[in-house]
Amino acid sequence: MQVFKLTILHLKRMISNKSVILLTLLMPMFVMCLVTFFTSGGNTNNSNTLYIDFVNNDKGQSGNKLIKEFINSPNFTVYTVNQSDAEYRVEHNVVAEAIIIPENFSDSLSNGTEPNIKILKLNSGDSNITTDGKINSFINEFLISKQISTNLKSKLSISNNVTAELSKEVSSNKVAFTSTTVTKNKTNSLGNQISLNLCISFMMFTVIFIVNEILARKDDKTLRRSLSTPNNKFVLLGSIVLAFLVVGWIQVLLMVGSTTLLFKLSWGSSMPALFVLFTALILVVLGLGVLLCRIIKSANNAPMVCQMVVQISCLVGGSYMPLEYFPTALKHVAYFMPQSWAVTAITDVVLNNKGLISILPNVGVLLLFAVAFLTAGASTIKGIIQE
Amino acid sequence: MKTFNIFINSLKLFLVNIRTYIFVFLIAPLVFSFMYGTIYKNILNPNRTIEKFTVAYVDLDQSRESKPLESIFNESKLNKIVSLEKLSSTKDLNDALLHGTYTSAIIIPKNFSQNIETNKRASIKVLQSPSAGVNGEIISDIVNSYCSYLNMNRSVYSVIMTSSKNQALTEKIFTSMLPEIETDLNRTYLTYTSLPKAKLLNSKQLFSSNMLIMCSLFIVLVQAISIIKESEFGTLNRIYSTATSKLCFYFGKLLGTFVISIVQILCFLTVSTLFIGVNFGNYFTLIPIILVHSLIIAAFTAVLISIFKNTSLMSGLFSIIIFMMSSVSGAFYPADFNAGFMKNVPHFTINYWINNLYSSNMFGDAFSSMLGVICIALVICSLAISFGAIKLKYEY
Repeated sequence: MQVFKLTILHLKRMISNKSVILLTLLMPMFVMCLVTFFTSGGNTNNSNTLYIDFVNNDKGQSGNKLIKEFINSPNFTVYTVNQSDAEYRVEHNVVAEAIIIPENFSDSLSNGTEPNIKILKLNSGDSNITTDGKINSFINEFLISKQISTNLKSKLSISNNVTAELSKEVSSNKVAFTSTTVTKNKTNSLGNQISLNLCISFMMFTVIFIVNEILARKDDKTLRRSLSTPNNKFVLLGSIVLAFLVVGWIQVLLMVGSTTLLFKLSWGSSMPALFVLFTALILVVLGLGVLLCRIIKSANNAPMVCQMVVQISCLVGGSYMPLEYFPTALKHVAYFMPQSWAVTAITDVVLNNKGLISILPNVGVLLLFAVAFLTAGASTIKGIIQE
Repeated sequence: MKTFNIFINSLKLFLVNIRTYIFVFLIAPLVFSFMYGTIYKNILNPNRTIEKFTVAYVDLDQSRESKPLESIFNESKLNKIVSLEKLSSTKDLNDALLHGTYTSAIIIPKNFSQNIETNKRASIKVLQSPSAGVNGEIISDIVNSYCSYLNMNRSVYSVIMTSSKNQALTEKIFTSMLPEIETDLNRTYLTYTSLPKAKLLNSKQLFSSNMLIMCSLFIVLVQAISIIKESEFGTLNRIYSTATSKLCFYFGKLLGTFVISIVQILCFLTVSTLFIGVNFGNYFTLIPIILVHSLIIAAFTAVLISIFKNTSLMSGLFSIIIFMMSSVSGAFYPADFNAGFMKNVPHFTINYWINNLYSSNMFGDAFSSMLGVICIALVICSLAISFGAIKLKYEY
């Protein structure tokens, strides 16, 4: 019981600091909401998308419809820009090509005259094949019936409205095609890799708060003084670990809760799996914090060193960029980072709807990381107590 | 002399944590530059030529309606990018698609042509591998065009038949119409303008200059903290009581920041050139750029110590500001990827303008083209440092 009383005392002290509430609890929630808002509906498999620019000069609505055709395809990342931006981005090889829709595009389609779409591309390369067919098909849908019916009229010499009849026949679409992407299991389309990776990164950044907290207790000698009270050493240390866990859980709860309630982001079907995974991750962060206190002697350097360590490990561990982009050698290095195990596990739970059993190996590795970090940093705690 | 002593003292204070600073200001940016440079190597400046990919083709109909699709894929233009592999059945096709053996699979079902002839619904199935991406889109578009062609043929035939009510006449008119339908459906409405490729920095050049700037901004934080701490611990008042003027202290500390910054930049440039092969351009024009960069760091420190009185608030807030400025100006991804409004956001960061100088030098631009930015930076830095000095002198 004593352990809970002490935990509440630690929590009261931690949360009384406004910067903890702002930087550790509210800011991750706010940024997560922002990212989820901007990436909601995003495709989870975007490694092979083609970046293209549109310059829409069309005065009617057909230009927007053409752009929407590309936006609806998960294989294209579409930007609408002005002509000078488009030229810059093509010349700098940022986008594969820029498609310039003329002013009279809508008029041309309604009058049955051929529009002229200008494509800006680099001298080399043939990736325009991908977009050519789509644009021509889109225009043909509007023009072809009119053009063929004109020819047909001259051959049939009848007064019937051939255009209307032909359009009606064509729109019945009796010969069609279906396109399906083969998937192994039913996956959760609401989840988004960027939000998930960001969540892991924020959890790791909590290490700054942990390091600051440990260094502050070292400076004010609270921990040493509390040993002189009639409390067991393990109860004291346990209450601190529990307090950090609670702060971590509040952070997770705010991130998961806000994105679920405000943006209907699905976090998978297994809440126990999420709970166990995040608990293991909080323990890793705690272990890392204790370990870093061995290196960091002054509170001045704490934010800087923690930022660098977390940034590097998040980068190598695949929190900032999916591991599939990495060269093979770096993929192997990623195994030594807890983030890579956490990202894989959270992807399984949230995107693939897997349960606790499936992520147990990853949770096991995370717990091993936590134990290793805590063991390596144990001398820090010993030092704080003995000082 | 007193200013010089404060400067030396400032250097000594910095050297106390030198191991940490070597990690933060030298090793960390080097690792970041190497990592981002390697990861973005294929993403930045990608090859715009489509690599040949394999498509499974299962024709269970083997009719005159299904054969032309196969020949479309064997045309010279598509043959360069698509390797068609004919299969007799759909057995194990899903597994092969999941493993990426095939990018896509085209399945023409039995009775396909019979359904078209009897005016029933007929469809061609395209299965995509999860990693098909834009290559799968090419296949879908070709099959879609072919289906549109068949659909148009069927519609034209139906309209002629309804009008003429004569089978022989319908066949005759339809046959004469076929080449026209084909021409119309193959018509292109696109004209191409080829643009020359701009001179581009390689990924390591791009990220190393950005990382250098990001980490040098942390020097601002370290130095500002050390100066404000003097005030928090009360040592500042003791220094002033030793007949050291406020301005001596102020300029001594800023001189320390300026020199530390120069040393950090020089060390990083040397290490990144030697270990990860970054070419920073002309060494002579690099000297004024390093000096301006260091002056900006010193001026930024002056601004921070003038504004903040509390180290914990400053370190928390400024860490976030550094992170945000670095993010939007392209420290973690290429800023060229931004479009529209976001393209102009980096212009409001210090990182962008310092990076602009390094990039110009890496591109081999003439020094005169950088003079504008350098002059503006010098004026702003002078104003910032003067502002700090005036504020400090007339405080309390």
